Amino acid sequence: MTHPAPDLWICVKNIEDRWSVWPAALPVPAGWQAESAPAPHADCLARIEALWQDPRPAALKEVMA
Amino acid sequence: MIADTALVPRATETPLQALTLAEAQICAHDQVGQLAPFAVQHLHLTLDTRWSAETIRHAAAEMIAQDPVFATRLQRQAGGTFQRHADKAHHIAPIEVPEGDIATALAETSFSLDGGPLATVYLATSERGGALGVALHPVLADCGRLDQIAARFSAALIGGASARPAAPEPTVLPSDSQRLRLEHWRARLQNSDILNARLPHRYGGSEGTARASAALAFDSETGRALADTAAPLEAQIATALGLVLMRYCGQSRLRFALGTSRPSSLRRSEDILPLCLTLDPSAPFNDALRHTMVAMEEAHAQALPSAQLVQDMLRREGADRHVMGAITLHVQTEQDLPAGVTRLDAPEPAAQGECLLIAQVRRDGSLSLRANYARDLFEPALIERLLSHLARVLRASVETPGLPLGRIPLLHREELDLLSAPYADTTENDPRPVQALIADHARLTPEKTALISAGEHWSHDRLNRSANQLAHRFLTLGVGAEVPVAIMVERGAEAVMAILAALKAGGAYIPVEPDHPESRNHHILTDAGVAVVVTRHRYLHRLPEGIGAHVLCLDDAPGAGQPEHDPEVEIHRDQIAYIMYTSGSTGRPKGVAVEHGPLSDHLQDTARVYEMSAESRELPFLPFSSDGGHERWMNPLMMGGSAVIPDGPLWTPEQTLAAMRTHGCNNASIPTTYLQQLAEWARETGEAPDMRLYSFGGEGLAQSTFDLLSEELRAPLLINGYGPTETIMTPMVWKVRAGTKFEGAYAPLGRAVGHRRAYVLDARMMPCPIGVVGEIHLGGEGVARGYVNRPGTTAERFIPDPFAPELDGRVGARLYKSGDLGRWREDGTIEFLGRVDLQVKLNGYRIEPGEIEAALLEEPGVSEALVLLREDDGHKRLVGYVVAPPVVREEDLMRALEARLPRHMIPAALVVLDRMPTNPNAKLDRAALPLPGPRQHATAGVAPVGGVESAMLALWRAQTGNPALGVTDDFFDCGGTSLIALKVIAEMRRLWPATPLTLADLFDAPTVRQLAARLAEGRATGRQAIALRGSGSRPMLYCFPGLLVSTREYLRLTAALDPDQPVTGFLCHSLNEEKRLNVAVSEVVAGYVAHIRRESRGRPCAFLGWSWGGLLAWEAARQLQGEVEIQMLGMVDVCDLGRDFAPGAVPEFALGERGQLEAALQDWLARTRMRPQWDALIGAMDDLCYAQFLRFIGNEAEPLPHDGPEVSSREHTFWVLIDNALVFRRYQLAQLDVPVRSYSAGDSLSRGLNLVDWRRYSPRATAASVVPGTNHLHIIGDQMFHARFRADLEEAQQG
Repeated sequence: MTHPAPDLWICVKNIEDRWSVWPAALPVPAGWQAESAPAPHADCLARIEALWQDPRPAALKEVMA
Repeated sequence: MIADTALVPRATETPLQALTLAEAQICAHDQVGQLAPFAVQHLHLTLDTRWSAETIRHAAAEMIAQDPVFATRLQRQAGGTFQRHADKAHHIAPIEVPEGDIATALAETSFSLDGGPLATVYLATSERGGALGVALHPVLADCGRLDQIAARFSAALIGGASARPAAPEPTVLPSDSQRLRLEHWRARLQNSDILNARLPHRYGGSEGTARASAALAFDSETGRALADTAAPLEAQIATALGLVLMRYCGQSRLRFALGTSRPSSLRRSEDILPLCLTLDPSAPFNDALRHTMVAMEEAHAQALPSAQLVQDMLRREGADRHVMGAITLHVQTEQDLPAGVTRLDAPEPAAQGECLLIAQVRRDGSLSLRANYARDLFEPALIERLLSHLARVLRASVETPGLPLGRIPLLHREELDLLSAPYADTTENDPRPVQALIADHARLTPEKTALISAGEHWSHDRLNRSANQLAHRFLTLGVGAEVPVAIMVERGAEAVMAILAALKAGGAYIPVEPDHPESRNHHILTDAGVAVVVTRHRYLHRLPEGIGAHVLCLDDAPGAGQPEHDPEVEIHRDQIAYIMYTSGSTGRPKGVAVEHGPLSDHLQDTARVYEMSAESRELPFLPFSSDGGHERWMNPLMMGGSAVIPDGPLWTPEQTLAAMRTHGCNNASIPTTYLQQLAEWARETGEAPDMRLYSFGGEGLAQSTFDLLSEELRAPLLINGYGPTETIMTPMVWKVRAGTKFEGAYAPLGRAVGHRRAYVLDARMMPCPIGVVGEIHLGGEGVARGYVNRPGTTAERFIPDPFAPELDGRVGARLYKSGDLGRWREDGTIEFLGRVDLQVKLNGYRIEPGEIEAALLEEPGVSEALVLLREDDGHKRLVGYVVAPPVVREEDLMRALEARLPRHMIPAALVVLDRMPTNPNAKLDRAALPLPGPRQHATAGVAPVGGVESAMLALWRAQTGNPALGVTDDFFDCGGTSLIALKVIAEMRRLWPATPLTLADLFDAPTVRQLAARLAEGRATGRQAIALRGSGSRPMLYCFPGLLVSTREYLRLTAALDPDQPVTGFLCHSLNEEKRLNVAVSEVVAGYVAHIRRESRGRPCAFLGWSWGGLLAWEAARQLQGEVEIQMLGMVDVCDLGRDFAPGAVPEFALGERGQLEAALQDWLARTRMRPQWDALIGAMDDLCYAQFLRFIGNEAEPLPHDGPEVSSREHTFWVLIDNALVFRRYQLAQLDVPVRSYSAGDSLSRGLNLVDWRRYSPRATAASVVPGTNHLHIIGDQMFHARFRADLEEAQQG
């Protein structure tokens, strides 16, 4: 909003194989794991756009496999 | 103007001394009976048994003898100014009282300025020990002065030498330094990027005179740790306050006022300075602390008396009410006293601003925080939290010094747990998917009605068998997990059946409204890889060409011949149940995929919140293209109840209410907009059926709409649902009994439902305290999987949940960023404030246009409202657009807003439209909204008829600068301001002297055509009164004009009064006719009095007199004594003659100065075109008055004007002022027994103007009400004044 937004972000992935982005300056919440080096917000989103091809959560993928 | 000219009174006797600006201001306050924000200063010491009575008495006597403050008195001069002097003969003696009485005695001590003592000393002694109490008028003392007195007493106690202040009083600043400093502050105080920080105001709260207080004692451990830090405590606390305010306001450049004093000064020296801070949220506390110290140093280096700064800033209308800062901080350190002496009093600095904070460091290192705030402006809980947040930040600065400012938590974990918690519910959910829960009832109650639609009843059994057959058909077509099935069928029983079939086959349904735009539907049908489309023959042509999906038409009975039993399909919690396409305002619709597990949980949780049962029969009116529409049929069916599905999209309110009655519905779920129509219909016909529950949602629900449906729709239970599609149907609800009242522009969104939490977070993912605006985030299990085919957007909007691990022990959880602004309310529910992307920032304030729109919608006739920030020609301003009938005038709407909203939220312009412009997609076309400006009139082209109309039109166009003005346009709507009106009237009287028009004519006939007709008929009203509001049953309010005002100044006040309050404005006599010299006050009011006499006919009335009008009102009241009952006489900033022209105030001239001034006067008189008028005026002066006139000219900074005699020329104004002073000199205010309420502008007091204390003239006058942040000219348009005047008037009218 009105505070300047944090500049650098990282790609993160959780235990269910869901992806997201997170400010690089903040500790990554439990259950999530950093998947990239710090980068601008848009770069992180572009990377996820390319990497996250299967939207199914991990447990469903396993059942359907 | 020089403030600190204090001399150094070393002796106990001093000559007469002038007062400083601050001292004169305090006297002015005292004189109108309103000492606040200043308070009588108290020193209260107790002494234990180590001190003998004799020592204490001796020390008290020494203290009194040595300090001139105990011998100082004031003397009133002609013209109302005071001077001070100390005289040994005036030394006061201590009063002996019992020790227990000192506190009360101090609290009850009051002083009279006129010549009496301004100090009292109380003494209590027993054999050993005792107490000392000192009370001092604030004109003599402040906190620093009390410290000196305590030190002097202590010194006398221990027999040491009395500490003498060493530092000299500051000398007068040269005027060019003053100018430079003034420029320094102007650049900061007028910089809209530096926010005058404010705390969140209570909804609809206004700043009255009442104050309240709160206190917080700090743990001494932190206090000592802070004291051990190298930086001064004042800087640490100022930094902490800056940080807390940054978090409250969401802005990193801000300012507040900081207390200052000169501890060694023998005169009162307490003052405040603005402290401008720029805080970096990513920097640690110590960095901010260093910055604060630099800012403080800069502020002190540029110090000016606050009165000087305030007066300078208030010259602009619309200046901030609290120029120096809405929030003021004083940091004080308790002084050292001898052993056995304890100080009990708390420091009492002037309670300036909306909230005053006092931090005091005790001798034992402990720290205490106190707040003194405008009671009606803030929730007490908010102020208490502010103190605790300050304490937390200070503690954090010691305990976690490396933490960035933006990450210092203001909320504790427990508080966040409570605020974010969902509706309490401990029931275990059935793990099966929704279709299984619904199918249960086909076995339990097969014959019971499940659906009613298009006149047909479907039993649970029929619904289940039909759905099963179609599901089996889907299975043959390859439908299964993660396979989308589009249901492109109109809302109805068959659509429900087909949806259930898709779910039973394990597929994900996508609802498609057949009548929605083709491009949207084609996108939906191709975006997610739909495998099967269920539709009807009549919609086939709307399918995209070459669609690669199986198309089934319900007309062909696609399930015929298939088995009727439930298909044996395993459903995984994580597989998708449906994809719902959002109707985003920009771009293509996004498909939101929702999984079975969260959906089933949500529906079961919701059913409990809605208290659903097998008896429930719901009418879901929400469309099937919204997820809420599906929740509301699934819910009753899964409970064994039933749903009445409307068969067409557009039922009239009459049809809807009839259907509810016919089918015996007990629940209805309705879009908010439609609900209003329904309630209006119910009100007109009285035909609302008895219901158990209405639920609604879809947009912000205004208080007036909520009240309407609460009263008219007969249901005990109401639920306001809120939910982005991304968080599954209605993740938040506000469930209340009908008749509930709420504060805020919109009904609360309530709290989370089921396995979810709702948060209000700032940009750094930190939870916002209650009342602070942030973005609403929803977390927990009840969120969607994400957007179909948009992993990037999904990752952006569904973010890691940093709270779930700690609050719920869930790891890897996600939060959805809603894009909606909200704030936690005191009860823990969340209030909606608008969209993040629509929030605007103007002059440093964050503004939610939705709040202004809600206020506009409350006005009669307004059906739509839109407020946006326009930037035209690089100039940013808020513009409001409303759809309303042409009778609704922009001017009236603007005044209504002024009475309702804080100043910074008032749009610069309003535009009334007959409809909002839309683009081909029926969306608002922002680019087509017209620029505001003088109204675009159809009549601009109407040609004037005849010479009078032509001449008048040319004059009006030239004066208003509006070439589009037409002969049938309203003068005041087309740029005609008060001042222009005066000029136009004067000019018209010159052009057409045979029919001398007055302002009353312009008011009555505000168009060229109407006014020209009056001239043609030669019928100027000659009236001296204007009906500002002609109707209303309350007793009439008569407004008496100030000098050279046009009477339109009272329009804003009129709008702020009760709509039933009629108001008449009298015209200023100096504009009303050729101004005659030296007319007596009694003559001026004769016309007004005749009018009142004629009109009132024995009925009571009320008067308002502003400035010079106060005298007129007083004289009118005198003449009407015994004839007309005056319920209230409102006196607005009425000044008596000042030193300039007061009788008896002999002016002083330097050697030879008088001769020079006389020569200058003669020189000027030789050149002015107003020579005859001036000669007449000067001829009427006596010797003293002439001397005063010369002195007055000599004091003027500007050269004498010679631009007369036109009305509104500087010279004409000057002449009227001097003439008026002469009239005033001859007028004696008589004693009258009338109820008087008076109002003083803060600025007039700070200038030490000689305001009339009406208590001296009427036994029924009260002390003045001080309106801060406004001046003599602007007070009449001031919101705070309006609110107080209205309250007083209504109280007076009630008797």
